[in-house]
Amino acid sequence: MRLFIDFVPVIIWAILAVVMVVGMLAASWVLRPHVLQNSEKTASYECGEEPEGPARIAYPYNYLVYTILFVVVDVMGAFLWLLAASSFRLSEVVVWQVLVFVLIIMGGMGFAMKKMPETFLSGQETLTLYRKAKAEQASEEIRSGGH
Amino acid sequence: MMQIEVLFEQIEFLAIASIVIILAFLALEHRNIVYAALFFGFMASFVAGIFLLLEAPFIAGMQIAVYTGGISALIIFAVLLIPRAQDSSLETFATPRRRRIGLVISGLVGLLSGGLALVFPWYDTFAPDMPPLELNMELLSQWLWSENVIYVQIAALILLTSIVGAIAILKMDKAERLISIHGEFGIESVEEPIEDEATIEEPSEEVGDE
Repeated sequence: MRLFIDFVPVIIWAILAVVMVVGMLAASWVLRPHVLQNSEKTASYECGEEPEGPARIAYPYNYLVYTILFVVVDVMGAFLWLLAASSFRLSEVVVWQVLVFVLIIMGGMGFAMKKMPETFLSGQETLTLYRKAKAEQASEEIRSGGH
Repeated sequence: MMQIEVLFEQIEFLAIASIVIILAFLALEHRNIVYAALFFGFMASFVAGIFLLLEAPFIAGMQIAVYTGGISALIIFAVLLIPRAQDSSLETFATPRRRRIGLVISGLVGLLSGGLALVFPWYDTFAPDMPPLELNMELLSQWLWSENVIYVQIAALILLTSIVGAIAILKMDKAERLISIHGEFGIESVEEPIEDEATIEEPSEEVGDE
């Protein structure tokens, strides 16, 4: 039994995918006009605006949670996939085990969904903070006698 | 016939192993960090080839699903989130001395792991009456979900911890940023809040221009 031999179609598909991408890139290279490359031609396109600064900027950290949720669901799916491939899943004990497993992770997901809006810097909180600091400053000025 | 198969297997292993080593080296050493993340993803999918060679289809599928899919996405997101160190004063270059030290350390690690692999009693480790778990999904799922199900639940708890930890880090980060700034023109608001103040703001002057 040679499992690796069984997967030869997969390898053929992978090679076909590579050939497809390289072929399309080569075809577009052949078909496109080759004009003189200057800085305007090679600049990144921003709807006709002058590009300002590098294109790769640091995004807010808040978006990392989405990736972590994706990885969590990915691992959960891998565990459940093994179970789905067997008839063992029909026994009663396993159903309870799966229920506990899924509920633990889904509880985490629900927690993340509930708490995620609180992790973003909201304009309402910023405004409250700003007004409080302003009021403190004003009272300080009154206390110290004008200026 | 048997000999040809053994030879073929060895050639497959050498091909996959050399591709994995080259891709791992590129993932570490490529100057552009996005390409480094791309090479990491390719490397993870070729490691799945090694698992296929060992006739373990479930681990190969898990490798592709979790590493090529999940961990690569996590690394690419981390690259997007961190400030750009390239071409800034944060970027450090490997000096020849550091390179030599790194070569010596990697040579030592390679020698140690190679020696361990040669010395390790592979044939005595696994009991001969152990069922062939790797090829039989039915047996493997029974082994994982009945005898060792407590470890599966521990894995679920670890995943839960990662979610809670991510949320806690974000809340700490927000608390750090939520301080009023005493700027040049008196008190200023924090930078870049989310604009959920549309109803409170006064009507803008652009309306009157028309």
